[in-house]
Amino acid sequence: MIIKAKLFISSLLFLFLSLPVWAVDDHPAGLLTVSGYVKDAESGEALIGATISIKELNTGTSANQYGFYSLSLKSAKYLLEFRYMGYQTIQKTIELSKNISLNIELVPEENKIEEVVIKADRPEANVKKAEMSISKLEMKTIKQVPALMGEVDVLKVIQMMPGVQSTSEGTSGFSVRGGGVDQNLILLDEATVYNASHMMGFFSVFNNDAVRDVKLYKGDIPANYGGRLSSVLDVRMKEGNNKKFAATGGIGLISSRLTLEGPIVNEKTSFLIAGRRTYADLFFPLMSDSSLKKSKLYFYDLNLKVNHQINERNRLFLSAYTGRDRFGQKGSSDAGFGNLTGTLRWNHQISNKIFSNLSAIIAKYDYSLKMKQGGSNYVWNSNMLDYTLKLDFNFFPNPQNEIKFGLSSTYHDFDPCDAYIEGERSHLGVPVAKNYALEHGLYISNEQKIGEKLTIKYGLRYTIFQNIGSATIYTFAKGYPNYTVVDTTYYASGKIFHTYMGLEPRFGMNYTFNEQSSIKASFSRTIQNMQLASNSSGGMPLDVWFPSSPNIKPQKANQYAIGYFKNFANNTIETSVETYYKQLYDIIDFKDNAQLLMNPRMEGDIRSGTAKAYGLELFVKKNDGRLNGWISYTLSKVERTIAEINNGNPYPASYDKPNNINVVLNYEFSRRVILSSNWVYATGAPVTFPVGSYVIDNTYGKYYSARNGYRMRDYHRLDLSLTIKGKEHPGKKWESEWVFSIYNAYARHNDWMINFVQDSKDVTKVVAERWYLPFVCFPGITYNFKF
Amino acid sequence: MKNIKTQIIILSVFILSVIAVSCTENIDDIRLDSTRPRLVVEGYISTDTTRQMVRLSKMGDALKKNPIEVVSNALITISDGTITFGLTEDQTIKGTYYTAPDVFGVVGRNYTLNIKNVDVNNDQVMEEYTAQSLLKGLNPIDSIHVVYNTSNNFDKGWSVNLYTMDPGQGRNFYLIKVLKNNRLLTDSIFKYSIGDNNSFEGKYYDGFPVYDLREDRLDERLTHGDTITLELYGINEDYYSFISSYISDYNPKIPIFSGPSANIPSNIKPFDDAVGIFAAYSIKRKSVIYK
Repeated sequence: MIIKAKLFISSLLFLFLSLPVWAVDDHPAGLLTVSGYVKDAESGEALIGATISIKELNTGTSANQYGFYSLSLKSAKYLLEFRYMGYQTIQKTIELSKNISLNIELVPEENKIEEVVIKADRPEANVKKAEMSISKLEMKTIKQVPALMGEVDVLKVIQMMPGVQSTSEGTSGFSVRGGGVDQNLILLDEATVYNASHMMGFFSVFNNDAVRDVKLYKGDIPANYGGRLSSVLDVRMKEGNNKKFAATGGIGLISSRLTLEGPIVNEKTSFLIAGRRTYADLFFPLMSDSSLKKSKLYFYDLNLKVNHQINERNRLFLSAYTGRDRFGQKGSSDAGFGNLTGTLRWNHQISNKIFSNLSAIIAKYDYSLKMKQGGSNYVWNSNMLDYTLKLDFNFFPNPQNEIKFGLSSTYHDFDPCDAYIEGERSHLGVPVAKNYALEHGLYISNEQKIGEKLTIKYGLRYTIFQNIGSATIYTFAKGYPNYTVVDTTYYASGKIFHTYMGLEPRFGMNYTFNEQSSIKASFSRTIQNMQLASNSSGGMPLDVWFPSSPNIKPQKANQYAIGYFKNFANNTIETSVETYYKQLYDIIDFKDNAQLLMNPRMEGDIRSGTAKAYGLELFVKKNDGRLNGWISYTLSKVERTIAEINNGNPYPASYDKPNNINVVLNYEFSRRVILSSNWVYATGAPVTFPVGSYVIDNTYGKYYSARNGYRMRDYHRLDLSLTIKGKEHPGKKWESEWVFSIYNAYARHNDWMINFVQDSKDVTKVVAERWYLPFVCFPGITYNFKF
Repeated sequence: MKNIKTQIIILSVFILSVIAVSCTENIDDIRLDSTRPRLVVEGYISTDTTRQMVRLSKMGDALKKNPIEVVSNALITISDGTITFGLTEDQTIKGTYYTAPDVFGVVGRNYTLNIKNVDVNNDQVMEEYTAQSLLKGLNPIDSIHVVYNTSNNFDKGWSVNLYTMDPGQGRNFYLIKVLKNNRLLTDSIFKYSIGDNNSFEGKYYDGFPVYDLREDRLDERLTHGDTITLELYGINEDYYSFISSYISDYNPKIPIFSGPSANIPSNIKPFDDAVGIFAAYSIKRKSVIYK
């Protein structure tokens, strides 16, 4: 392993050191370069993933995450075609006799077709691109899906993709191909969002008006991403309109939002600022109930972005997010939690073939709770903080190869629990010690076209994870059911006392049969060093992250996937069949009755083992026409085996729902009136039910089945929404729409949890209680506007 | 002791907010399997000089559709390795066994419970069950204070504050029971208050609030002249884990807060054939008249 690592690092160093050579020698072998940016003609926003085809060579490339593309070709005349979903295609003829810089602006399809624009076939990117196991969502699509209380939510739409399961009704937590909620890396402009939930997960932290692009990698995770086993959700904020001032907003039942964007220096510098806040609490003082009068319950988000084009080759971006939930009662309790992220990026075009990005990132999640009881103020604070420095390169040597490489380094600072009674701080001290770690990643990958039909991708990521002092590490004697502390080691501040290293190969291929069909396969190995101390079925505000350590090995996964992709009707109907098999090693779970909060010896409650997940995903999507939408079906299984849990027998993970169907359909009655619906079906979640009972000291006790030996009833729900847009007039700047929605339209009482409790009327009896969320036939209304 | 209390109190902020937005309905048609019979043991030995008790029964069906079946005619002993006490079955309350009235436990001794002559699984073969429990010590309670407070609407009432020294020498675990005018208020496990000495090892509990009496509960409401008695139990980790898990399991499971349901840990062997607890503990008491 060490030899491989040295080889890998040496190769990367060679690449870095060679950069100046490439930068000077711009056209080896007589190749010339056409490069530039692909942007939205109205806002100047980069169009991530826009495709650029060379008609004569039947090859091409795609724009990177900043909209940059580069093609190195022999000197000749070429017809280039620029395409992006939802935009009019542009063809440009170029005479390549020297290096050319060519920036292209695409016009949204709903706008008037201009002379230079031709209406071409829809992009067939889903067939032609080598990447698979990806869900890319357009914001227009997300906004059409009916939502709880009319609050459109990226994460709720993600949960309707094949291979993605909601972990529990209403929550933002999701499971991807049998992975846990902790195994998803959620990024907002490259910064990790450790808890993407508002209000216990009923809403997510993403304000749709500020989001430009959403991409979920379910398996074929590129080598430039690392740190989680199962998925990467890459959310990119808008850059801000650099051509004109624009405002977007909405007024809903529980919240309102407003986004302002515009140029600071025309087409050079732009800004975006977006805010959202719920306001149910503003009405509490008007209530007659004295408890409600004193109640506090709200959340807010604030997104900010500024970008500045220094010159053709250099751009700076600054983006930030802060959001917070607050609830409690005035004078007695106050709780809050939230994320803070900040990213400063420098895009630098080293040459026409080499694009670089340097990012400095900060990510913080914290919660704080205060409650007055018995005359004392109980206080509990927790936070985690990351500082990351990241350098990425895209190298386009020729149309057949696109090489990416880079490195990143993150400093993790964990403060899992600082609990005390106010005024008695010296008594209580710090019950759970702080943790520190360094996480480094180096990667290189290439996407290579071999002939006209075959594209292969290969990459390697090398991860180094280091625990740093000061730290207290316990040594446990393993017993059953409990581990006992037999030794305690203290490490001094700044000392690296433990290191994990790992190689993560990634491979993918695409064989294109013709313009409409292809077969793809992929393999990825992923390693996860950040662990989540939660054994609940969904994320909760009190979740605490902690690092791999001498006691806890990194989790690892190997995923194999193969898929067939076929488009019909001029690419308006996309279909796919994917199947996957995933092996997971050193996954963590928690012993029975584990204590995860305020437990300095929590590592002694962790048990590790293996898991396997496999499944089949069917997907049909109709992109155009009055009736559009998608249907997905997932058949899957995920099973864990951990020696000291469930007597060592395999048990289904709590998010194992073998059958999952999602139907999203939109019907456009006219340009102004759209009816949208979604129907969700999933096999009932596994649960552990009692199979025996007893009474000790007047209290009912339960004896349980094997872990997750039962299932809840199957889950299904229909949501509807009707969008009515305002009338359009030539020259009218104000655009508006009303959205009326109904969540759970046929009022099903889906099982949220089932509890067994002593009958309040007859304490000698026990009754089974179904708990369900009150969102039955729940209406929502939102007024959206932009100008 | 503060940690567990803080945890419960603060979690309740979240849990209450979730319970507030959920609805419930009874399920009449739920079908649950049954499991093979197991012995249920509830046995204690304390530093009080009294009739020490062991209660035996059989595990019933999950929904308690049938009455609890007690286990009679068992041969039970409690031994500290030197002295062995025999227990005899109460003739009026079947399944309950007592020592002689002059028996008491001694701090530092490891007690062994032995149960014979029972055939819980009805296979005509007599079974034997055992359990061990270390009796841990306590320092005397110097005093208790009862203080009225009005922290918020739903727990307005009195806190019982404790003054005592933690014995130190490692982790210590406490169980608190409260009597009002000699009537036990903590008459069920889910009403118990428990804690450990995390951050208090060998330190003084200087008026630490250990139990809350709520004004909105008739049996807990105080008037001048009421006598409040606090019983402080020095328990071991097994009993602490048992109570902690029992309370967690008794409370509703909420998906976003709860892990998978799990059996309450037991120290009765064989582990797979029995549930319950055998606990040795020391007790200190202090009373105060509320003025």
